[in-house]
Amino acid sequence: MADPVDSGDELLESLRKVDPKKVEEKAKELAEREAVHSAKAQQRLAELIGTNSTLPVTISSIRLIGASHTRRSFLDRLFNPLLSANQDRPFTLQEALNEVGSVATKLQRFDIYHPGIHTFIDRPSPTDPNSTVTDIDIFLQARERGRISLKTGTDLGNVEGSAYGNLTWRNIFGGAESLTLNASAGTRTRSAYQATFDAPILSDPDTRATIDVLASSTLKPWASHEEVLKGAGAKFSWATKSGTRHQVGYSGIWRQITGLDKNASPTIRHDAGDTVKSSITHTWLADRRDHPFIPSRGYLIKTISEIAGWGPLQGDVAFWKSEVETSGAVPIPIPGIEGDSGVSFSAGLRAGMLYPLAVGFGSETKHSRINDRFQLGGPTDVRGFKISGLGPRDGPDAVGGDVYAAGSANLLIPFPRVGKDTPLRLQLFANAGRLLALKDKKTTSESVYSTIAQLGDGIPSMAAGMGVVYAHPVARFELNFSLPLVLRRGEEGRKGLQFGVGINFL
Amino acid sequence: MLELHVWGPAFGLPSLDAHCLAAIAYLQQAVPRGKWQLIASCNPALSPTNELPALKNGDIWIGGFRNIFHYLAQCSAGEWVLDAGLPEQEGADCIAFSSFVEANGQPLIDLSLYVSTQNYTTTTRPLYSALLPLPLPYLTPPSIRATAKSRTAHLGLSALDIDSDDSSPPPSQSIIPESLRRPRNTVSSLLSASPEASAQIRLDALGTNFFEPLEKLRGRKQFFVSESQFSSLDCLVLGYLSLMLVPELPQPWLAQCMKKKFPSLCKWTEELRKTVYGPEVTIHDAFLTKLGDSELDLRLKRLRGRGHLPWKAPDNGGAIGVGSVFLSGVADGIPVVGQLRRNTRMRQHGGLTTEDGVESSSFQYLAVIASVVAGLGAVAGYMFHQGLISFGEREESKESVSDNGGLGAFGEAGAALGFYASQMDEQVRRQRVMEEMNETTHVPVVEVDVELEKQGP
Amino acid sequence: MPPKQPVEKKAADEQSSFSRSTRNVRDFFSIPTPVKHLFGLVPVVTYPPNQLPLRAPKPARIPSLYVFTKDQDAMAGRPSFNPSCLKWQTFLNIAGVDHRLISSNNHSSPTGSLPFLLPAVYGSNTSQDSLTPIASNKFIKYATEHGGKVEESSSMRYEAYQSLLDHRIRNAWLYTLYLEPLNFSAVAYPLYVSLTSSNPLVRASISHQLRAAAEAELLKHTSIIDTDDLYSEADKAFEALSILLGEDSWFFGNDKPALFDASVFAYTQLLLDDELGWKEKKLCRALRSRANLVQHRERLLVRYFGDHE
Repeated sequence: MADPVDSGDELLESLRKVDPKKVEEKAKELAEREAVHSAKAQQRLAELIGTNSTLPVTISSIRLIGASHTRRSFLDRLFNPLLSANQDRPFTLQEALNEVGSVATKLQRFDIYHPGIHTFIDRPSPTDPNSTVTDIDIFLQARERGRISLKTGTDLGNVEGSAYGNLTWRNIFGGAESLTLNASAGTRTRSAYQATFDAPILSDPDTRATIDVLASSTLKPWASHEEVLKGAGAKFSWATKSGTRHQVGYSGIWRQITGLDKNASPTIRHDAGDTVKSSITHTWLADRRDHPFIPSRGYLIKTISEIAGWGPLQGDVAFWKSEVETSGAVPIPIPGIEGDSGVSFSAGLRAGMLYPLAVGFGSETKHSRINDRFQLGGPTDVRGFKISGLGPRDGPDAVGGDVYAAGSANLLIPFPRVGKDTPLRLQLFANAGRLLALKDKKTTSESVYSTIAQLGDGIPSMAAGMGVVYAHPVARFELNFSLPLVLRRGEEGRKGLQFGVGINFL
Repeated sequence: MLELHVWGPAFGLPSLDAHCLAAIAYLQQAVPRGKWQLIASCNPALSPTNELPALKNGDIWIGGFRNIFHYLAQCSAGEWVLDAGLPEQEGADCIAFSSFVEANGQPLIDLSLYVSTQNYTTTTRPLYSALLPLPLPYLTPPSIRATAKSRTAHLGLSALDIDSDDSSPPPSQSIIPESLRRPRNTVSSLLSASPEASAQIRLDALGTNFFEPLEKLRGRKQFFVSESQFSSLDCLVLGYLSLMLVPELPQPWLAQCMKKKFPSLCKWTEELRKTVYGPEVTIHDAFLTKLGDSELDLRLKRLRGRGHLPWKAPDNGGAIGVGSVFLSGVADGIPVVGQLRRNTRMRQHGGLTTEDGVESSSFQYLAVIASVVAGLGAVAGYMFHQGLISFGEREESKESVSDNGGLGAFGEAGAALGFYASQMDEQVRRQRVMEEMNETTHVPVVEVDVELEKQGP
Repeated sequence: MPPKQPVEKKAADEQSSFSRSTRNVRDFFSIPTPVKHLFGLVPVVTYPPNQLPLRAPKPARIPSLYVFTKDQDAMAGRPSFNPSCLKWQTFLNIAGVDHRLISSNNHSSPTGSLPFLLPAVYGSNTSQDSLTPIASNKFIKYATEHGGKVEESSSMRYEAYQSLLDHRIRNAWLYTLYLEPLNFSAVAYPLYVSLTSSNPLVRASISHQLRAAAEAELLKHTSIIDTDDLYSEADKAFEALSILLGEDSWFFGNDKPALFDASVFAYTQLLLDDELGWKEKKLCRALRSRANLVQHRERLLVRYFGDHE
């Protein structure tokens, strides 16, 4: 601030010098005043609501501000039930506010507005001849998100790294419909392209219809091949009143087993080539755990049923496939610690079965192929085994099985000094599993039953160990030291350290 | 008067293509002097089979070496036939060895003149530049090279081409697309001093496999199948062998292999080459350009010696002719359009009648125009795509891995279009910049978030 | 204090092992002794191996030849419908190498094309070697190593006439099978497309791929697919082969058939087989007019595929 003339400008300078301070003070004052004001307003509102919570009100209008691209008919379905004209009795103020709040959350969940939808309540002007004394008007203020967003990045997963680009077109027809184009390339999933169109049904964020098209190519080193997929599907998902979720979908996929390793086993060579799977899948999920990655109480039940190739479905493969997945957790109180100790015990059980059928209306059942059979083992299911380390093996290849069962028991303990509120836990675990191929029997049902019975033969393949768990907001990380205790010859255990990243652990 | 259109002279030989050399030898031996003329051309599209050599008799065009000698037999009522009167076994040998020479000789020439980077850049490409009018040297040699590479892919010697860092394709033609195969490592071959040196053993073996049966077949005879008769097989062999022996290349493995192991073949080639093609042919001979010689000198020169070839100055059809060759080349270089054009080629059988030729060429002309328009659109779209969406580049490079032929050629088309673009009006360019600026003002619609996150499988 | 001693000794042991490990970088990552000892204890129980899935091929004492064929034809050992598969199948039959046929497709092959041979598995030892497939260019070596009787002609004409088969006749074959629309739908479609998948979209895609591949293969050598030229060259090639065979039973005057006979048979059998249902018979007619080639095919068919007819 070197001013050439200092005599006449002194005043100016002094002003300048003082200026920032003054501004700051003023701003502070203003902020304080505002805070006091808003606190007062808040208090007043709270008092008002408190004293008037049972006051009967009628909602005469709801207005959503800043939603220029959203369709009127789409919003009507959300707001109409609230309007008093559509109610047989007036709300209490409390009820009205709750209802409006739940509508705001619903709006938020469509993912077309920026987070933070503000709600205002106003009384219609008394000069309006149509208004009654109990009438209130509701204003919702939202800010629409960009209709097109482009995202690129990299993913790191279990023994996999990939880069992706993602293009989303939101709110296409003004009813929260979206189109997502996804392209990625990586070490294991060598390339994947996917286009998904998703739309909520009847303005309900829990009821959705989805159509998708995909093309991908994935390396399967545990079975010496590469699988190339091209397909399309349609899904419909909804939630029940009790909070469980259903999904029903059809998918038609052209699968190619190709790019075999030099020493791929005869079993894999025999399955190489093209097949088309045309199937209907139903998934049911009830998740009542308190945390998705390190639960301390609650349970999860998930069932997946799939029918492929049978009757009018056609295709090249036919089977019925069922899978059940359960897990539960209970907190363990430790004597001497008040309240929640943070120690919890969780157990999981998974089982699945593939029942071969005849394609179409034929009578000759088809044996299962490598791409339909189950694989078991690895850091995210039966720990202490390599990926697909369990089950039948032909030379270097894990060829998969038709029936499996796996269970685990884990004890999660907070780190001694760090405490239970951090996402870190120590873990002790023991898990076991069996994966079997169908036996050769006269009829299919006989071979399925005898194979299921065989699950109980001897001690299941088993491993135990301990490790560290870290629950990141997007995934669970584990580092375990494991020892395989019981094996079938050929099965690949993992002695020593094993690292796992995943969303869904056994 | 018959006109034989061939690729122009090189290496002192009257043509740089083996089939053209064979056709010249055939006409030289079969057709009386004065009944035919030789023209150095650069437009294979004139021929109904889209290749040179091509024979023109009045309005009739015949393409390809085999079709030419069939036609000569037909139009001269069996007079101008070299193979006439060969005994049965010798006739069969003639057929079988012709196939052998074409099938096994072509890859050797491909490797030597086109695939080998050093030979191609220092010798073959400059030759074409001398022969072809601008802008064809930007287009024709690379496309010939690409074909040569695809023909020799099964030999697993693509390491000779050090421009391409992609590994050698698998040694088979199957329905599995390229992208699904595991890449093979050629780092070691790239590190060695010259790729030819590391591939020496394989190249020698290839050469020997080709020369040995030929030498055995000739034995002590004067010609390949007969003691006295110069047959169509001799024309073909002469064409191929002289193109292997005569050129002086920086990587002379093929000529060396021939000189070292098969001296008698070399002797035969040298002798016959002189009798059939005459002394060293230069570009000036072919285009009849004057080198200070008077008209009389020139005429004297032509009359001297029986081996001298009846050259006639080419008529390139001016700028339109060159332009049409250029545009059809560009169209072939653009993936989808090129494929469409190739698809139409199957219907055009090697017609021997005039109507066929006219029809196909006018059809081709239309196709050229349509495909260039489509091609320009495609390139523009591609640029837009490149500019706006950042991961476009990655997708593109993936595709080029999966589809060696198509997109490799895209680069060619792009380069050629770039050549024209540089001549674009300044004003047009400014306008384009303005448009691009406008494009950027629309960008805020798009939110771009780049994130690095860890996620489960 | 006696209990202290072993601890010290152990520490000394560890120290020496540590100093050793610094010398060798790989040892640095090696497992400490007590853990190694623990690893030695597990697994505590090992049961016999799991049974393989039902679709896995049964182990056999003879090698398996993977070819294009139908399942029931593979069982009966009938000729494959793919020329290069048939060539090597016939060769193995001629050489007397016992094998079983497995119906397969290009995806299963390490080179991307059929045929290939998977050696027999002796007993239960599935070593890496026995899983490595043998590509067709190694069949002659394999046959001689496994007691096959192979006599190859060393005629100077061998290579030249082989090139007739590998180029002239093959090109005409590619054209007539894949690019003649009538033949493609009548012959190639049921054999190469219908067997692959039952889905119409997949079939359309595969037929397109096949035709495009055949076309690309032909366009490698010429810039235009000239059908007249293809057929006339194939006709001349059959003529030349017919002259080469002359009055002999087998090519090159051998008293036993050899690989060259198998190569010729690979095309003659398929072109003369009425069961394939050729619609455009130009190439078949060209062959039928050479009586000695037709008889040559009959001789091989009866001799090496006779007991299955």
